[in-house]
Amino acid sequence: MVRTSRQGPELPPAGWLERRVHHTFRFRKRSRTVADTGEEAYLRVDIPCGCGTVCAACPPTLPALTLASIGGGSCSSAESGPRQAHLLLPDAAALRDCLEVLELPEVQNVVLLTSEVRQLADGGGMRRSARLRALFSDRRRHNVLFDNLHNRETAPAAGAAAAERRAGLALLTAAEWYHEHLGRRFPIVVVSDALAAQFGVPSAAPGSAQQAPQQQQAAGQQAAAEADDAELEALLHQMDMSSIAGSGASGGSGTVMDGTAGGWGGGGGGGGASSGAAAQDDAIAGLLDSLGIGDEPVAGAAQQAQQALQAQQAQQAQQQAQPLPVAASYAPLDLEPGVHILSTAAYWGGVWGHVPAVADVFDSVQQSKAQEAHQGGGSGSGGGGFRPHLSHAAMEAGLASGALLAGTLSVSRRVPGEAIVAVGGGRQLLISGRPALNRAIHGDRVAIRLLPQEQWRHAAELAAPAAGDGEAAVAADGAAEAADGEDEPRDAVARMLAAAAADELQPTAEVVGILQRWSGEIVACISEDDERALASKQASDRQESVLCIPTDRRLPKLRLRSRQLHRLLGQRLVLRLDGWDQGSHYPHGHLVRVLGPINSLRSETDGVLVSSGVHWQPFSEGALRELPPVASSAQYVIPPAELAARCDLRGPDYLVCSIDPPGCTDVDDALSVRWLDHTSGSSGGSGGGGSSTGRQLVEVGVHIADVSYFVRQGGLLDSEAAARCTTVYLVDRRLDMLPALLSEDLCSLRGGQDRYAVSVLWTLDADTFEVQDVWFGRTLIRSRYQLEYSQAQDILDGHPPKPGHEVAAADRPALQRNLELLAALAEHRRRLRIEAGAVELESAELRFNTDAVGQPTTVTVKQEIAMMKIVAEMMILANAAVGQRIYTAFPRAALLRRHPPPRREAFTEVAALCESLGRPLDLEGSPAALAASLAAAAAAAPPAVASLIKSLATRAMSEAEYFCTGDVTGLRGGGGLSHFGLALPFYTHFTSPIRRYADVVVHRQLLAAVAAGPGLAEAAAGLLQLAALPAPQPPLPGADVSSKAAVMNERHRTAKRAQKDCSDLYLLLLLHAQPHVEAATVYGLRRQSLLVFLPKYHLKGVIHLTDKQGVCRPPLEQGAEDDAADPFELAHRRGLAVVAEGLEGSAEGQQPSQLAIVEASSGRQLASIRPMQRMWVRLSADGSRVHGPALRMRLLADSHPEAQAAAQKEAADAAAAGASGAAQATAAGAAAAGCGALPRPGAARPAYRPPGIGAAAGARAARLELRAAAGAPGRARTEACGAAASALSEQIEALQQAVLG
Amino acid sequence: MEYVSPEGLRLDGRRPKELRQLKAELGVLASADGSAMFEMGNTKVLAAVFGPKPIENRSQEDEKRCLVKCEYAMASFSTGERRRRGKGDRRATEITKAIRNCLEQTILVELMPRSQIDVYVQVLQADGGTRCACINAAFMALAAAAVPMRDILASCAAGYLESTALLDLNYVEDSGGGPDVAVAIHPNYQDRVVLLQQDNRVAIETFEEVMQLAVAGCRAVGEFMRQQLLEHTQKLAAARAAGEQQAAAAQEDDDALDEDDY
Repeated sequence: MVRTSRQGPELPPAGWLERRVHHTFRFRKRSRTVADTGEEAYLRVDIPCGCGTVCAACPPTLPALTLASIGGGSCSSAESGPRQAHLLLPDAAALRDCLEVLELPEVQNVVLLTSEVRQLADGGGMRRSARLRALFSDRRRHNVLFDNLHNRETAPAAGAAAAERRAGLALLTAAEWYHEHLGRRFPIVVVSDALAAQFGVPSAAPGSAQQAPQQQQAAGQQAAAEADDAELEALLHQMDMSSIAGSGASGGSGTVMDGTAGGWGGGGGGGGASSGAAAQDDAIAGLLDSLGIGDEPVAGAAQQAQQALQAQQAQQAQQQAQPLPVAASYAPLDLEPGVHILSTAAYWGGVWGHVPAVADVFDSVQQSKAQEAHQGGGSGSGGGGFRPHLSHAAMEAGLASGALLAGTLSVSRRVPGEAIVAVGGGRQLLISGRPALNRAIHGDRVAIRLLPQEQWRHAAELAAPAAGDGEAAVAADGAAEAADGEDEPRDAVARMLAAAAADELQPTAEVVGILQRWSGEIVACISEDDERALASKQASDRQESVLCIPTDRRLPKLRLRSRQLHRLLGQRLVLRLDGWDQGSHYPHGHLVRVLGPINSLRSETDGVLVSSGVHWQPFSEGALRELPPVASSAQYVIPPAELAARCDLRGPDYLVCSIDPPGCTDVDDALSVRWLDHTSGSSGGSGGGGSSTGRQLVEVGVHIADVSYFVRQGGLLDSEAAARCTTVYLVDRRLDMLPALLSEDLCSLRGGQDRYAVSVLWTLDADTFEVQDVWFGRTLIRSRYQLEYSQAQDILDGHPPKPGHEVAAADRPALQRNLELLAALAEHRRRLRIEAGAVELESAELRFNTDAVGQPTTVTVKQEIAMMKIVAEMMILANAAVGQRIYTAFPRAALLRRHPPPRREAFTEVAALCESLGRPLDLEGSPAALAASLAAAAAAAPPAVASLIKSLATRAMSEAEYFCTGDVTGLRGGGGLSHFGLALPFYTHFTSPIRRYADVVVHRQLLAAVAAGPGLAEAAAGLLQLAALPAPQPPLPGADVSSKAAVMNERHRTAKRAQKDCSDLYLLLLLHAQPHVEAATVYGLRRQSLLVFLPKYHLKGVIHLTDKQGVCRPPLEQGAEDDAADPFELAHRRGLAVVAEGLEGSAEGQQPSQLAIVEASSGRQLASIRPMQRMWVRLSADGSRVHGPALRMRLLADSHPEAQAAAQKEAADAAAAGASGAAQATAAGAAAAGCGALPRPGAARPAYRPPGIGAAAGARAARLELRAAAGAPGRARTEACGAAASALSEQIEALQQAVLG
Repeated sequence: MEYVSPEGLRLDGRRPKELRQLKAELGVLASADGSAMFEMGNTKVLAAVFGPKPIENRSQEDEKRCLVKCEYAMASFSTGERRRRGKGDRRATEITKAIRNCLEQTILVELMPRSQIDVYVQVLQADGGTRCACINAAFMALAAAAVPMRDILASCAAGYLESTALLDLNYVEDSGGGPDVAVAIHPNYQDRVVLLQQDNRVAIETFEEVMQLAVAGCRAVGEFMRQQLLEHTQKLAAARAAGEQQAAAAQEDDDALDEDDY
């Protein structure tokens, strides 16, 4: 039974008829030896010619040539333009050099011969063979691969394969066979420079078939211009010929045959050469006929091409009276008439000269080749052709003498071939092009030399987007259309710089050496071409090299060599750059590790971490050993010494509670309010005597987790925390700064647990909030309640608690009273700061709900609750107080945080916007005046625009930073210490030691200060065991603090970048899965594009009204979709034009007043776009394999169903909000009016509140809904908690959003 | 380079299910009891058989069966790069054992107790599929030596490249990195599998396909060898008939002489 099943099908009878063996050689790469081999060839007659219906003899094949008879009106029947009615047989060299041309869709009916393809593949790389394969496997191209080596009629004679191949005879044999096979009805064109030279078609310089192509082309282009006397002669000659050609047109290829025969038969002498030329002309004429070109203008063009060619040929014919040596050595072949041999230049120039697409590509191919040859000759190394770098000594000498400049290279995201180097004094130098970049990559510190002024670029040139830039097009990988927000400032800067320069010139420079290579890790993946090529190969252990494309567009492609490339297919890789040889096009790198499959969430998030430079390893054992030896706080017993040393605030009159986002586990701050007796108030105010009738004093406390007690300075745990510097919150995970035992348990100020804290206690007047006394010190607290924001807000407002949010009835009135006091205090403080010039800034904090596998399902924007502002204000209060305290104690070593005032130039964009609103900014006055004018403008604008103003202002701000006071005091005076955004003279970070290292350092400084400082007599015994010194000794010397501050700033930046990138990634993934339609406001116009702002996500973007080919993209109408392949749609769009109005003045940087899309034929205006117009935009993301998802924005016409749906939804929401708002508008809601429209959480596709609806009501409604959302599944909540906690910190200082380049 | 063109032709012009050209010649060495030259395309193998003969080493004597000894070697000129290959390297040992194993299953060893058969296989030219060619050559040589055997022993390999099952891989295809399944069968004995070796891993479904193709190839090879043996036998028969005639004529002459004598 088993055996019968094994009886497989019998073999078909062998189809080959004859076997030939050729003795050849094979070069073995690995051993670098040449080995003899016997190559078998089994010859057959069943190889189809692939000519489709034309050939009755052969079975039809799938990619088939589409030949139609020459005169048979092939054009009329063809739908897509003229089809060539001749067969094209390129030789290996033509295949190699003109691959780009052959890849054009216009070029069809190419017969690729196995002999030529194999010859090419033997010497070429994988990538080229993959492209070649695409040429004949894509059936739309109507090209075929013909196995002439195994067709009995065309196969080389036994033992002669190699020789014949070399001589190109195989090609000719095949050409003749085709001609014969197709009944001599179709002209066959052999395109080969070598053959053309051999057979006396004198389009090449004598005896230089190898160098021919570029010279030819150059000559061909210049021929018309150069023509002198020869031209006349050529013209005369042509007159002769054209009469022949004229008769040839009617009689098919008959006359061509004559010419050709004359060419072969003519033998030696100049006459032979020139008649050869004539033959070629005739061939072209015949072919043009075969293309079905009857129109006058085209014929004219063809004639021109002919003229040019002839002029050139005649010239050469004159120059060379000798017959070509190569031709002489070969007996003239008895070529079939109708088989033409043309050189590449003659074929593409002559036959295709009238098709601009083909001619252009051929020209550019020729030029790049010529350039390559030129450069190769120059550097002598071929390949990359870079100039050598200067030696280190030379660079240093140059830098010292000022001949060279040094700076860090930053490559443009949009045009990877351009980079900017900032060289002190605000000057930025442009470095343009690969040769000038000279192997420097983004982030390198380079030595540059200024180029002479003639090579400086015009500002106008610079401002124009480099649409035609080949390099940009290649590297863009199809995603350059929707630029992300990052692009904008750079462009703006470049424009500004250009405008600022008096002579309107942008200085350019070139890199002469690399001082220090950027040493980061590169996230990349194997390029698609290589991947395809690899996938089509079998796995082998050979070492091969592939090109890897980094996710970051600014980095160059890298060459990676590996034996295990098959393992790396479809994976995200981490690479490290090894170097860049002078002779190579690309740098080479090595594999560091594999992150995982492309497009998997885990690996992409890892990629974000790697590329933003966040390193995270588990805690070391030594560090963990420094933790208290307990598993949880339940086992931790407070040592009696500590109990005695600390101020015990666990008493019943201390109503301590924490207020945090839902699900928060690392609680690092708690608040308390203690109402002091009247007596103490009156005793304190005894100076006032009896007049102070019951001045109510109150003690407000901010209690911060005492992390520095557990993390001792100089220990391993301390150094681990210092290395991490901050906890990084990503959407799907949290990278802790401290081990979980500390961050979530021992330090976390949980409700009902005894915890160590460092407290700030203010004694205040309950009515005037006048500070009577401040106390700092270590305490022991027990938080009574761990409240959530909404819970606290409910208590404050006197609303009934939601389920799970109950507090003891007895405490409720006390809590409410305390919260009311805190609210009033916070409002008071905030008002003070705003009067002093604090800026209110805004940015969207997105929160994602994820499904079981971690894919984002919905996105909500973080909700503003009044309680958050109250808590934030209290934290600011504490930070400011601590900042002042440590600065007075250690004026030369305190760790503070400052925020320099913004540069005025950064405000041009905002200023223009406010100007257009009629509320010009005060850019000249004090920072406070600027802040005030900004606030006024925002208040006057509709909500969407207001949030745009705030968002732009946020970006215009400088970046806040940690610093050591010792570095600044002497230099810049007191102004250098202050915090501009918060309008505070001293500020530091004190309130989040669990997740920020700076706070831990500040804690130590504070405790050292209070231990030594005055006014602590009552608590001195209970604080540090430091001896009370007359001059306080800082726990860390100033130099250490300043180096730590530098690290903190760096880590802070990377963490922020990682968080933002991660959030962006999730947003894009979400948009990829479910495109959203959102309202956007146009805030700027360019000639071809508009800048829009989406208030919902605080997203700014550019929408181009033209695509990369310059074809107009009107707002999407109903039923229409972008489909580049649809010829009808394309034709429609081609008829449209973008008209920018209001650009009469020639000043650069001027904005058009209106953009209109106009139908060119009728002048009908389809759409017009003005600044501040509200538009519907469809947001989606498309997954570029290499660079990850990229944002796509598409304008929708108002009539588009999706836009209408969104508008309806918006109207419904607005109505609902209006109804609820009218009923319950409160003072708190009114206070929130300034924060503009609040989006609705929880909805899959939230719509935006239109301007004009009461914002107060909006805030109210939003708050109601947040309550509803609080009941969301627990998992999502814990997921979101991390982000929320980080959001809080942002809220606290409201400025860290500022300016991240 | 691709191994199968879109049109379905392999590098050497065969279709995926075509064998290379087979050639066999029997009795090429006069000194051997039986010898054969077997060619599969460019792969050329010479086999010589000595025996059955009395056993040389008495300690190896078997009361019940004959001893089959096998020796495989590659000529140093058999590959493109000239390299001296010993008989003792791992690959040679493995192939030796594979050949001997096949032959032991094919020869009716029980018929010739206490005797020994020596088989020498020499690869003259290697171009993929040497293992199979060796087995085929050895079988032909045994047949030429008139060693009693169960059935024809036919061997052929198949591989899998670019999602296509390919029959009878040549060297270039063999080094393409795909699986290579070498099979030997007894075609008249219900395709009993005598040898099955495989390099590289392959999916089970693919393996079925490749295996069936290899078996089909074996049958074709077996049929070819049968034809060759038939021809050879006919030639021998013809030669013998001619010889007998001659002998008869000579006898007659002798008789005549005798007659003359007498």
